Amino acid sequence: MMQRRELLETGFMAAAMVAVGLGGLLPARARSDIAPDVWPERAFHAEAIDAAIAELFGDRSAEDSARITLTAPDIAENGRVVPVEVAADLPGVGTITVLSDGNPYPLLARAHITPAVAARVSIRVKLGQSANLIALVEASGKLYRATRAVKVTAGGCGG
Amino acid sequence: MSNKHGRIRAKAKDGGIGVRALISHPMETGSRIDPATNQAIPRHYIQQVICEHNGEIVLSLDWGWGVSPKPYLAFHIQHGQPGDSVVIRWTDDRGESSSLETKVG
Repeated sequence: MMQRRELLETGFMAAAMVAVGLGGLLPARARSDIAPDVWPERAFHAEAIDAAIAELFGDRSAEDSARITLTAPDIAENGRVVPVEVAADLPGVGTITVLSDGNPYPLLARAHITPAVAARVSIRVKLGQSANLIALVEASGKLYRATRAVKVTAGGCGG
Repeated sequence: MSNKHGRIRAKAKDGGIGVRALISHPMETGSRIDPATNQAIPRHYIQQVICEHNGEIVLSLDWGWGVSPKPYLAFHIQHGQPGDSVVIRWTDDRGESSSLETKVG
């Protein structure tokens, strides 16, 4: 009897270990390559633009690129609704990030581009005051930047 | 298509699909003061947006509270045709999710 119980217990232990092993593996296996990254909480809460950029890109440096078209009005009459379009004529675009150096929280939005869409996204953002809009584009493993000044004549109520 | 969650339009264009959407969401920063109560209106904003073409994720976005109220989004799907399905889904910081869907016209 004792032998049989020991065998059973050993069997239980082994089964439990397999289950724990699978439990550890399953979440990783269920993750898809095209699933969006986790929402970058620290970057959105950063109050300095350099800190927000560092949260997203580490110490990688960005190169100014004329192949990014950052479209926004020169003068925004309503800072709460400022149209912004970023288009990148670069191969292998992975992400497009939009920031403002005048907002209390500079990171505004980030887009994850797949080859199924053009590397061109339009949104509307809040600008608390006249500021530079900055677009950062990750393409083929490099980081590129475009900047555009927007004068705001009515406030965006924070942002 | 238009419903209480917003509006979406997807039109065949240049062999692909042009998509434009307006999402009904207040996108509150948390720093606005309600004049009636003199209290700050709590922060409330969409965090993630996922765009699908015929069930495949083609674009996703991370948003903060710096995106305008009633957010606008436009993008271009490279290849598609009339009748294809386009869906935009989103989740806000309170875990509330909604979606808009349409057929390409």
